[in-house]
Amino acid sequence: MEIFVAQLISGLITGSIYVLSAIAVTFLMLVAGFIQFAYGEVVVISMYVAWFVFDKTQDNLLLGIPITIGVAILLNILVEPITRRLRERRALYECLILTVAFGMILTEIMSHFFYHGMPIRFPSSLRGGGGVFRWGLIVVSSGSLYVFIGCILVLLSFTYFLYRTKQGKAMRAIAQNSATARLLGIPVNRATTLSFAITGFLAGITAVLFAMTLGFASPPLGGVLSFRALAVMLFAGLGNLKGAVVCGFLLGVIESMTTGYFVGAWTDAIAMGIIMVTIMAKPSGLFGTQV
Amino acid sequence: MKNSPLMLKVENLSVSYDRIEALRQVSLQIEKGELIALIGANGSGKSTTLKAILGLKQANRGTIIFMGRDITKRSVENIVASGIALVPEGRGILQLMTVSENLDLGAYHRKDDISKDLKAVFDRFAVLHERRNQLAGTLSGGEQQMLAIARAMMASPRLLMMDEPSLGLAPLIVTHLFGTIVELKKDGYTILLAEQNVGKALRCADRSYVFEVGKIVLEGAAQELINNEMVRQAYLGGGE
Repeated sequence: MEIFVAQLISGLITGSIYVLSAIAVTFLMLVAGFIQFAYGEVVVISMYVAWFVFDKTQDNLLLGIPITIGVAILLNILVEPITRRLRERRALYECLILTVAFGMILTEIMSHFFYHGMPIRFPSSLRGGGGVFRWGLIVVSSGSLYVFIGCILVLLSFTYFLYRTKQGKAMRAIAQNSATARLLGIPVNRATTLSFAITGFLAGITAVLFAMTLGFASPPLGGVLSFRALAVMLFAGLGNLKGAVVCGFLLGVIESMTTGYFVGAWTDAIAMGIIMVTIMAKPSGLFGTQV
Repeated sequence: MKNSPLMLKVENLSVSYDRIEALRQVSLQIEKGELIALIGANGSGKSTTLKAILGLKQANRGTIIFMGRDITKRSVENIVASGIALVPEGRGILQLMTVSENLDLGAYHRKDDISKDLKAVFDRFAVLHERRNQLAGTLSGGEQQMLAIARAMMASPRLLMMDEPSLGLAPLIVTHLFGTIVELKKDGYTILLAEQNVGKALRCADRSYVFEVGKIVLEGAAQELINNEMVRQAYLGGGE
């Protein structure tokens, strides 16, 4: 029983990262019309930059965290001009490939310019300083708890943004029908560029939370996260934000349950296998594609 | 800045789609408070004219002067903010957003308090108030048309443009629609109406321009045009 609860909690924590990633990529897809496949790499390279700052400033969190977020925003905004001409022609598959290429470049940069490509570790102050919470036999590190709470807070704020602010509604309008949005006087180009920045901001937050829960990073991690984000999106149904929340946590829990109950490295096979079977049975995803 | 009531002056406007000239040297003008009807067959250039005025289509040649200012090369955002709103062909309703959200977006460019206007719109269109939290896509055709008009009104426009509002609506609804348009004119709105329902359009308009293949072939007071032989033959079934 303890294994179950422990794995459930662990799954929700990892799931938090998947949820944030899937939401961010889905949002950008809805507004700008393409899949940003280098999202994971943007997150991880921002983590590397954070590590660099911590390394040079004796673990100054106040400096490191904003810089992480700033770097993520800048990198994701870079994707806008990179993909602009393809997006204008609605060449969406080509956009995907281009962002995969961008991700590869980022991974190589991480491999060569930071710590010789070896895994990096994050200060324990970022991970909650080793504090733990106990309920009976269940132990949760405070860092992990902050990650989950952080994820929920981000989801709530993002929902508020999308459904209660003028700018958020404008973005949803663009996602549904950019021609209509345009004639209403919504500056579609400017708003689309803003959506790149927002996704970058989410990537920065993801980077901070990821560093808090994982405690380390390595160059290949970027590709792994990107792929997971897309897997969650397909699992839920492309474009379905609410579905992405559920499926992100679901994937995290499936992975941790597999790790907890099956000996050997079956996590990927079982998790991806479940997603594959789901999509074969219901191509539009668990919750259905949207917009 | 002019003091005359001339709200819009379009001069020698030419617009092309690729190599096809959709508008050829179109000139028209609207005074404050007028209801002007643009009539003509499908593809004659009425829609393109409205789109060019709003900035959705770039003009090759010609000028568009709104309230004394040249808006020919301005962006759509800019033109909407200056006070022109378009009820597009096919309504352009955001189906997956609620009635209220559609109305809010109509007022996107406004920085002032919109609650009075929202109340006014709900007073005028009671059905929209009833269905304010419903997804716009669940509304009937006629209700969506009301929503599209209400949304344009939320922009607090000086010039209200409507592109074929009667398209796809049942005759009874069309009658109700034109009733609404006449009311709007009575309330002081300046309206530019592109319509295929020539009879109804001419009956409520002050003046009208007749389009054929991208050019204006006839213009004048609506009352006169109703009795014009060419108009009757071409658009009013000859014996109305």
